[in-house]
Parts: sequence; C-alpha cells; structure tokens
Amino acid sequence: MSTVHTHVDTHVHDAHDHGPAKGWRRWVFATNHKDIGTMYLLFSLAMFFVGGVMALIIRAELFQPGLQLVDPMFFNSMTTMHALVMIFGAVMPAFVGLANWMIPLQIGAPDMALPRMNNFSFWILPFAFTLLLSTLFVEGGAPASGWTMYPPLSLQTGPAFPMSIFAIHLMGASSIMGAINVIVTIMNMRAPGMTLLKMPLFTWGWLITAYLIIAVMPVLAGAVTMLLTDHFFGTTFFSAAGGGDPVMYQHIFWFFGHPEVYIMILPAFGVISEIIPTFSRKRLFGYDAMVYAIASIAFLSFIVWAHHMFTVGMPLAGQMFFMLATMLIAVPTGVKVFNWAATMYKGSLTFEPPMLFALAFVFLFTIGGFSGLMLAIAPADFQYHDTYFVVAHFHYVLVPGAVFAIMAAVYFWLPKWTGRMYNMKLAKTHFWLSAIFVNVLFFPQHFLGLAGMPRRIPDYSTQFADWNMVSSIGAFGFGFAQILFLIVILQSIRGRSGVKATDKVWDDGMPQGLEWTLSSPPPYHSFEVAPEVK
Amino acid sequence: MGAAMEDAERKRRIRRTAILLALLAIAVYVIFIALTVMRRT
Repeated sequence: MSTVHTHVDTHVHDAHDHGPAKGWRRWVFATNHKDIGTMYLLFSLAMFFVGGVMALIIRAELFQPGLQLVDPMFFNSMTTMHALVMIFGAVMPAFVGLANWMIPLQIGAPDMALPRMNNFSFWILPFAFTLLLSTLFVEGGAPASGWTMYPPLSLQTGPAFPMSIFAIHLMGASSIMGAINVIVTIMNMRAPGMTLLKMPLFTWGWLITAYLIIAVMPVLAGAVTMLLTDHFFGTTFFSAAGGGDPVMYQHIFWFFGHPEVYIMILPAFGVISEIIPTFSRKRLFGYDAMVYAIASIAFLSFIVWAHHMFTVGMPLAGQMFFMLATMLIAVPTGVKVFNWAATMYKGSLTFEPPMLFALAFVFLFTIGGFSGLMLAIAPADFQYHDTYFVVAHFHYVLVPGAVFAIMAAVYFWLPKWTGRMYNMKLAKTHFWLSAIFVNVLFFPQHFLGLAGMPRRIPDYSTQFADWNMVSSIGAFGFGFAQILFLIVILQSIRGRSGVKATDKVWDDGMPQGLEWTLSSPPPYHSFEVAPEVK
Repeated sequence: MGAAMEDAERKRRIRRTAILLALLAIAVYVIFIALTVMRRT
C-alpha cells in the first residue's frame, strides 16, 4: 500500500474552478465523477428496494405450504426478476457508483478518463430497467424462466421476451462502457509516483473486475442474441429439433455466469481490504499477496463454469477437471481471509459500523465459500443440484458477502462524501438487525436443501414447513431493517446528524490513501493539480 | 509547452486504450457467436 505525501495543497483551486450546474442539468448532463457516482448509488439503492419487495413476495408465498398469495407463473416471474434486478440493477451499479466516487480520489486523478461516456453508461440504466420492469405489465407476464434463461423454456416467454433481451443488452452495454472507463482511468490517470503496486486494493479489485466485465459481458450478449434469433428468425442454435444443442446455451451462459459472480465479489474484497486495516490501525498484511490472490481468482473464474451443470451429463474427465479447478479457488480466497485475520491480529480494533459489516462479511462470506466447496464436489452436487442448498450458498456469498461489503463501503466513505458523520447508533442497530436476520433468513435454507426441497417452486411438501416459516420471518426482519439504512443515508445527506467529519474521518493515523488528504466533502473538482506519491 | 504535450499524449493514450478495449468486447461477442455457428454446421 502506498504511503502518501502530497506536495501540493489539494484544497486550493485554480481560477477556473466552478461548481456544479444548477437544477436538473447537473444530473442529466453530469460529467463529474462524484455526481455520476452518486446517481449510480441512488439508482442501485432504489433497485435494492424493488428487488427486495420481490424477494418478500417470494418469501410470503413460501411462508407456509400450499398456494396462498400469488399465481405460480407470477411466482416464477418474481424469482427471475428478483435475480435480474438485484444482480444488474443493485449490486453491479452500486460497485460502479463506488468506483466512480473513489477511484479518481484514490489514484489522484481529477475525474474519470471518459466523463461523457460515463454519463451515457449511467443514463442507459434507468431506461433498461424501466423496460425490464414494464414486462410485469405485458400480456403473459414478465420472464419466468429464471435469470439463466435456459432454452427451450425461455423461448416460451411471451411479448416480455424481446423486451427483457433488449434490456439485458442495454445493461451489458452500460457495464462494458463503465469497465472501459475504469481501466482507461487507472492505466492513464494515476498521479505521479502512484505505481500499480501502490494503488489501494479497492482500485486493484476494480481494475481486475473491469477486465472480467469486458471479457464476459459480450458472451452474455452473444448468448441472448442467439436466443433472440432462435425465437424470431428461425435459427436453431439451441434447438435439438433443428440440429442445435440446448446444453450449448448452458455452457455459454455459465462461461459468462461464473466470472459474473466474481465481478460482484472482487470489488467487495477491495472494500474489505480498505476497512479492516483502518479499524485495526495496522497496515494491511500481505498487500502483494492480496493483489495476486485477486488476479488468481479472476483467472480461475474462467475455467470452472461447468460446475454449474454437472448434472447435464459430461465425461468423467470433465467432471474431475471442473471439480478440482473449482476447489483450487479456495487457495487464493483462503489467502485473503487469512491476511484479513493477520491484519487484525494484535491490532487496536474498534467496531464502528463499517468494521462491523466488514467482520460479518469475513465470517459469513466464508460460510458461503465453504458451501461452495461442498457444491464443487461433483458426486455430491448430484444431490444438492437445484435444491435450496444452492439458494442458501449463493445468497450467503451475495448478501452478507457483496451487499454487506457495499453497506460497509457506504458507512466507510459516507462521511467523506457528505462531510458529516452519520447516526452511529442507528447504523449499528441496522448492522445487528441485518446480521441476525440474514442468518435467520438463509441458514435454514441449507437444511431445506439437504432435505431435498427444490428451488423455484411456489408450493412444497409439508415436511419443509417449519424451516420455510423461519426463513420467511428472517426475510421480513432483514427487509424492514433496511429502512434504517435508508434513514441513516438520508439524515447524512441532509446534514441532520450534525457532526462535521474531519478530513481523515476515522482516525488521525489511519486510514491512509490519497482520498483522505482531501477535505470532507471533497471539492467538486479535486486533484486539479496532481499530488505526488512517494 | 511540456505540460501541454503531456496532456495531448495522455489524451491520445486514453483514446487508444478505450478503442482497443471496445474492439476487444466486440471481438468476444463475434467470436462466441461464430464458435456456436461453427459447432452447428
């Protein structure tokens, strides 16, 4: 990690400095990385609540056996839309928002390298999601074949089909433009002396993530384009009747889908690597190893895709390869977890909200990692496949994993963004309610899966009733706890909490890094004179 | 003058990197569809 010495007063502005435009023009024509970052974060917060309502509809229906509240077709639409909204609307834009805000500040750049493209990549998203969500109101309902959109089932979707495919293309274009911007910024806009191995780990995590996005989002785009031509133009890429292969779609989809999981978790690793040293008051243990671990995980993510499809039938050698390659991911992931633990060892720990979320991340993400190892075992996966065990696994990785990391990041950097501390008591209450209810929600799903409850069904056998009820109670608890998150953020934005944040925000010694040399909030145009890093 | 040259060089590098990355994304899209077509035929 870099030690930062700024030779220029970064608070001083030159004579050409100007503030933001007035009114709606500031946001519609935004090119400032801070404004675009704010819009991304607010958009993702809105989508988090939209996707959350869909999750609550699912859990309300599953509260007890039998069909209670919704039509089974609508239930399937909810599982599909919940996934699409949360992945492409909540988690990915949240990390892009954090990248927009923090990467220029962390590398000492005045803005992102391509600010107009930055504006375009954000403003695509509201249109994409309006289109996607509007499928709920078309004849035949929203897509209901799961976010994986396996043919031939997905080809039976009604008018929602081309709408959702166009929406996915738009989201992909937005992500690719965002990723190009991140790479170009990091490779060309670093302050003098900011070598690659001096960059903060959040920036490193994002650099590698951006390459992953460029490598795999076009694969998803290709897959759904071929679905579209199969549906409307008489091709038979994935139709066995015409000489095509439906399993081929699954290979292509998961060649995108598995790296996509890492797209959602590598920036989270970066966030955690920023927070734990700050609240341990120690330098990060094994910085270089952390960078190489992120790169290793990214590389391995390309050669494990078929572990999602052991049950479609594949040669034994294929099963062995994908099983062992998947297990190999535990090595760099273990390096990261042990390095976080070593950073905390003999540290002067305090437990402010960002640290609480980061600690919960380390414990609970690791649970998701271990259940992932269980799923990687090919013969065992025949038992677990398409059960609630899988649902429990990936929700542990994504909710107390990626989502907790986003919340940790917001609580970590919010005082820097707004210039005001937030209500610590309310934030800690938000943490404890979230941490307790997320486990009440997802841990019982391991038991349901092991007992054989299949995923994506609106009704189930009565033997699964008890744990489903517990899980649903957890879901509503977790859902309502997030209202506190909203209140904390709104209070901080409006300056209701009152206490002014210092430049370093958390401690005079830590955190280190260029962003903490700026005022809180940072000036609208920061680092117009590049700082020098030694 | 030196700083202006540096800015021009930086802009050129930014444009070149962005175009290369965009071409990479388009190439991945085309290659995956082409591979699927080849498997079909």
